[in-house]
Amino acid sequence: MNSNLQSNLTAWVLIFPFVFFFTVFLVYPFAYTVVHSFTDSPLIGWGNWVGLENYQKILKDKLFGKSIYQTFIFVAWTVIPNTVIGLLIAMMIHRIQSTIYAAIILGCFFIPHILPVTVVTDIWGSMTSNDLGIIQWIVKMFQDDPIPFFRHKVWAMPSVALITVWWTVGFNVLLFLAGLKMINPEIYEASDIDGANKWHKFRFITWPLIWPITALVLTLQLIFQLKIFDQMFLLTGGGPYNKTMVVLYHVYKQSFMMNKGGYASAIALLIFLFIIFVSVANYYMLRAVDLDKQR
Amino acid sequence: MKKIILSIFTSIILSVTSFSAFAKTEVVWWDLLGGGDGVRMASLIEAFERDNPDIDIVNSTLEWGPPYYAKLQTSAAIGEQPDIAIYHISRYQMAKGTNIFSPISIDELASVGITADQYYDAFWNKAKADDDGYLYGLPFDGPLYVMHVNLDMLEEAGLLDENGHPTGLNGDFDTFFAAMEKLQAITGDTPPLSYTASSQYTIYWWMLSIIKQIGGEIWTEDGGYCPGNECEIAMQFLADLVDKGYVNRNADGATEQGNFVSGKSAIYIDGGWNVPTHVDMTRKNELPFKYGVFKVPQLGPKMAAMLHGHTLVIPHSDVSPISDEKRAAVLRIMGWFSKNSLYWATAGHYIPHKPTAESPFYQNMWPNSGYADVGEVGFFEPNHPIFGIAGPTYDVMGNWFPGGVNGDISVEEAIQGAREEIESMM
Repeated sequence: MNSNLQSNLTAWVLIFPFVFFFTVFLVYPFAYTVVHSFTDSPLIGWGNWVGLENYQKILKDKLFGKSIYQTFIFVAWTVIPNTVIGLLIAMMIHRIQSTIYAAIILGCFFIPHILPVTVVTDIWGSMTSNDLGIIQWIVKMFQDDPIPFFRHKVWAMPSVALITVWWTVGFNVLLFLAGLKMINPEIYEASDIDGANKWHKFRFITWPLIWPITALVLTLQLIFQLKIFDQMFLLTGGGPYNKTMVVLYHVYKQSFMMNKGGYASAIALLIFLFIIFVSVANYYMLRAVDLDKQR
Repeated sequence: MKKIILSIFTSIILSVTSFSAFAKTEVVWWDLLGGGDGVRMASLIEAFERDNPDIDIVNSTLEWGPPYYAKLQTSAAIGEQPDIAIYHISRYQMAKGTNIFSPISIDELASVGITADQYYDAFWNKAKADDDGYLYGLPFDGPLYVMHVNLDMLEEAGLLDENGHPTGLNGDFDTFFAAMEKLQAITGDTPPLSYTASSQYTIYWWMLSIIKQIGGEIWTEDGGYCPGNECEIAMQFLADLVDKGYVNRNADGATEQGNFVSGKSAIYIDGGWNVPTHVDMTRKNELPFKYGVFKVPQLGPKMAAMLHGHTLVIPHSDVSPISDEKRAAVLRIMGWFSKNSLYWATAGHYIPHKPTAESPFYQNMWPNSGYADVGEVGFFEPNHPIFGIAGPTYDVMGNWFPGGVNGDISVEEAIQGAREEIESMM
């Protein structure tokens, strides 16, 4: 009994720092946001209780609908491409025999991931600058006028997506590489004896065995990209014509520009629940595919 | 022993009281002034402290725009607000609902020598919190959009009068286009006019003056946002400038200013806050031409120039309101700054304090004298909570205006898009 009490006490002491910070920085703000979402409060301070009015307003908010749509467009532009490119790069690095070269190439792909978003957007802002950008130099080979990539109705969203993939793909490469290294080389050797070609090896060995990693990467990507905000804030400001107005930018606009803290909280809460639902559903669906394959 | 204790006690009392006699009132100051503005403000604060040794200003400069205003609000929510802060006058209507201001009575202002008749009506009226004698803050300056010119090129094109002032630019759009044609003959491959056609800020600030000049309004109580067709007309003029090749398509700020200061373009329409840079370059003989600066061109029947304004406010907090002692010190700061704003004019900003603005020194100050009379024709954005610098309308305009001006979408689509979005916010 004494030993039980002691081990319980030790456990509580060990988890206390986490529980403390989790409560102060997550549980409390979350509870605050939930209550706020039922009020007409401004950005700072409390307002009057308005019941479900904010949620009813969301249904009529055209820009909210548009922002949800644009968020999914961004997800479509980034989640699968980021996963596929990450896998391809990982496979390429995995094939390199020299450990030093493999490490250098992995470093090249991973370095962008450690850069702060402001540096990333500054780099790309300079590269696409109308007059001095190196990318405009290429554009001018084909047409007279430069393309204002982040203010162009067609180019804005793909441009931000491309930058996001460039920035974040290194992390996926790392995860895939870890997955590839876990595959026992003897399986490939056995398949050689059976006369399997490269495609067979990928389709029937590599792909099924790294599927759990792929499911993880896809789920993480989905969560990250549904939360897209920074790049839009720094590069496009939600424009042009709201074509990059993603849902978190809409929340920012409602709270920090329109001073509608209650309404912004309601949107944020819905998005939070939606991301949880989609992420869990996505992960279990992908795991189900995995289990089918194992059978 | 008793004597020793008594002497120690006495010396402590004396040192505490003598310290109190020389204690300074510490006033926390926040602003959002970067670049030349920041340097000049730091000098002014130092000068104030020299004149008022009993007040110590602890100043901090925060990031411009929404982050500054959000921090001001959050600091007030927890009682850690500054005692005095710079605030854009155009945001008063937007912010008044947040209870961030501690309004200042005209009696308080009078106690430090500030009265309504010392200020231009446009500024004083915009600063009013009510009609009962309270102001949200004290107007300090009036930054505005101006026309920086290469006088040599204008002279060569026959666009200078006998006084050395631009001529042939004012009147209507066709007159202005004709002047651009003449200047383009001189500038060659570089468009004659530099302005940042890619930014909603620069588009809006010039466009709003044009709308007013041709008799329109950006907003009316009955007509909403962009009533009538003046917004379309004004934006069409800006789009035509791009189409005719008088302005670079999607022009960015650094390149446009670069074209002007290197003598490639003839006119640069941008903020008066660029004046100090151009003046410094002139003094160092780095500008390859004779420089001048004037009000934006008059393109309609009446002259109008959009103004901004930095003001001095006392932030309010329910948690920890400013003490009487600090409030008195802040009022003294306001009094001193109102009377010593001439130096601030070197930052290129207009000065709303009449005795300063109408002083012979300011009226003849080079190159600011080119727009020293703007107080009579200056106007602010409408008094509505959605207007105000870096506010929601700017975000919406950023969405629609650059596309309309640079031909990505039609002018009608751009105005209609902004109109629908802004009206949905009202």
